[in-house]
Amino acid sequence: MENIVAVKEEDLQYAGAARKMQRQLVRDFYRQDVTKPVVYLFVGGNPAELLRALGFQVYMPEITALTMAIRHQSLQYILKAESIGYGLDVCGYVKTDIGLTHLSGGETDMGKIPRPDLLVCNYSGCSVYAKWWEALAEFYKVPLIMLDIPYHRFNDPQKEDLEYIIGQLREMVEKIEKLFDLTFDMNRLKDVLAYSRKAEDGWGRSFEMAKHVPSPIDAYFESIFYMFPINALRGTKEAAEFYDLLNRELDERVKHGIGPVENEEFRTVIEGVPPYPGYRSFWNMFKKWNAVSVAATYPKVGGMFDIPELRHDPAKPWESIARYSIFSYCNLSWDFRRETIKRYLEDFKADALVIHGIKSCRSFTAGQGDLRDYVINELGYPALYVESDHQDPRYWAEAQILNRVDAFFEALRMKR
Amino acid sequence: MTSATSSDLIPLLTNLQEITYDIDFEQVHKWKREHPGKKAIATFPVYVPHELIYAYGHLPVNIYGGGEEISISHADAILGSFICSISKSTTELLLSHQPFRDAFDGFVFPFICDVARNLSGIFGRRISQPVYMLHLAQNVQSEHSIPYLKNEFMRMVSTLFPDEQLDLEKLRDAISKYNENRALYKKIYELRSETPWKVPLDDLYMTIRVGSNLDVVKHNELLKSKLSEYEKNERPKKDAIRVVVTGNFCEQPPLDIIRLIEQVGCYVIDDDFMIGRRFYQTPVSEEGDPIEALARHYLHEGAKTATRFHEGEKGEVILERVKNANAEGVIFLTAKFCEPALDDLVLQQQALQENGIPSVHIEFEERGSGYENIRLSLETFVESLLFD
Repeated sequence: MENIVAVKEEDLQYAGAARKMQRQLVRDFYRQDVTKPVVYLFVGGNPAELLRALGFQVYMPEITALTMAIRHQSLQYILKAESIGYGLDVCGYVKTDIGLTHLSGGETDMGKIPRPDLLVCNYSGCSVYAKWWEALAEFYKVPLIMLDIPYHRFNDPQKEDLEYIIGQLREMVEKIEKLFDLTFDMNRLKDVLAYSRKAEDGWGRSFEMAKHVPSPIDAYFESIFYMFPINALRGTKEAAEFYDLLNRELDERVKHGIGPVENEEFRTVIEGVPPYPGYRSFWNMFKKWNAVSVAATYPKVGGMFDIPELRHDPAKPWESIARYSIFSYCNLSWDFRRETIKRYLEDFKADALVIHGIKSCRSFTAGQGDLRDYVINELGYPALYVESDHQDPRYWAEAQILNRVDAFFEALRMKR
Repeated sequence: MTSATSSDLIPLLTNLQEITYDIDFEQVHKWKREHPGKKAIATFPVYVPHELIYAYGHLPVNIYGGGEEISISHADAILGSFICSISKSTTELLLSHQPFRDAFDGFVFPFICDVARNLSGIFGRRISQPVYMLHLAQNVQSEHSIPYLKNEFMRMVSTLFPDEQLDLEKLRDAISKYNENRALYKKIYELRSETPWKVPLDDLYMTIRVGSNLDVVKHNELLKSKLSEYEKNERPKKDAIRVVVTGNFCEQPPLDIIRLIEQVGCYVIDDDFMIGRRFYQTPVSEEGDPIEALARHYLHEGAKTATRFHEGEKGEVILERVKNANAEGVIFLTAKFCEPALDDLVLQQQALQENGIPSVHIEFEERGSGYENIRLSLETFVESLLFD
């Protein structure tokens, strides 16, 4: 918590507790010994629970890449990947991962990133996923399993889509059992799913907290830190406990009327992937206007955790894993995304929409201009669109973005 | 469906370039006037099973953006900065070109990349015609992929033609006509491989591309006529190198660049130009369940483009193409911002390098402003091979 105001320290039992635990979880994660086979998964709609139940250590190179970027270490790896032919327009996650793990041996100041024993391509929401894993399979000469998740196009997942996914999940388990001489245990899976569910319920509750005025949490800039347990550790006891702690901290903030800025003046919904190379600067641009994000789409890149029906369910293991996988944010149709933004603007009593588009991720970004048009002209909310990248600092034009943000809030303030 | 006669072909043959690049889609409007009550369905690259649309008596039309024929004035604001030209010009056609909007009664965007996928949502918001995002199965190993894909194909046509029934006999007939279309392409490419000087690249390109907005029967007649013309062609043989051109499976380069490749001294023996129109080298089965035949063929026989998942064989695929074409080098011709092409290129270049096969990478956009740098790169590539 950055801006604790008008409350005595001794009244606060949980101030900064979630952030402290999150930091520790990150440190522990990257320092852990490799004692089990390593599987690489993608964040969006992944079947981490199945892989944990089978006995794998789960890594997500997207998370490693963004961690490098927020620590201002991504460019060296991007340049390495470019030196073997990856073009300027290739996704920065791909280049950071290949530059770091394949070309530099995975050594970081946080710990060593292990090479995978298995690649599972949970193809949910991003076509680059397939390209990335195809390349890693060639580099590392390890098995690659494609798990094809149909794009969300219908209001409810169609029976045939769920059957297709469940069929592939069962095939995947059988294949892994044979490849690694492992035995799948349904009871173990149910235990893992129960931890996932508990974490998701807690994470979902933290989103709801932002409906308070003032909001006790910045649902974009601050929540992004809290995404690590739900994505990297979902299905573990630690992740489940983390969200309990987060909610205790948020409850305390509500009780004392504490928010992330001193006097909440603007409530925004933020759409898009953050500019990790300029993360602090970007956040400060909003803080200076007393603007708080009260809802955001990016924390749902793993899955739509704010919709209870889409959370994992130990009573319906296969179906809930399949249903979850369809609803990763980038796998959602624009119809659904527009409705989601509309719901956030209304339910969280927001003043405006802010969109951050990035060069790397066309899945998230292509059509955000159309979204801006929809929000302004059909919903009647102000909307700001700025662009940079989530990995590559060469695209971070701080002065230009600052000018846009200042002009936007200046205009909003004038209209009041 | 239209039965073409040789006299029907005269306007096509004499106005090939104009018709190929016509963003008013006059050929489509003409077809609709001749077939009252029937529909034209626009399909974005790379591959959509046109046979299914044709089986309903409607006209499937490949769209390839606005090329050099339209200026981008609205699409930038809709799509953002880092997006390929074909997506922008297609969006521009939607936003500001009424003949395009009027030509089509439905749109299909296959999931070839994230931008193509997202275009379906942008179109869907802005028009009343049905729009379908076709999720082609990526898992070629799963036994569940064929039932899924059969169902997916049927959902596509149910969305496009909700009140119509599919006649399986008509689908078999459509498959037969498209098999003939693909067989004719194959013959022309075989002729080009044997005697490339007889088949000028730009003419071949437009002959294939013009079929995008024609009834397949009419296009088959055109291909037969062109095959006969090429066979008789007495153009002199040039001292040119045989190359494979790859990477341009979706967005199409300007005609000037296509001409440039041949002008600098290359015979293009194998290429990705409009690969979706000749996605299969083998005929789709005309026996049994025709929907299953289409699904099975897509999964197991389709071209191995960068828009599909195919593990561990990027190098082998390009090496085999080079070998089959008896080519001396490869031109990677990729559209700016085309991530699938740029990703595959790395593995393919490495395989070529390991096998001592030269390659050059050329990046293009639909609307270029002079091609001197591209000419220079191509000339250097050709000279390095000629004097090697």
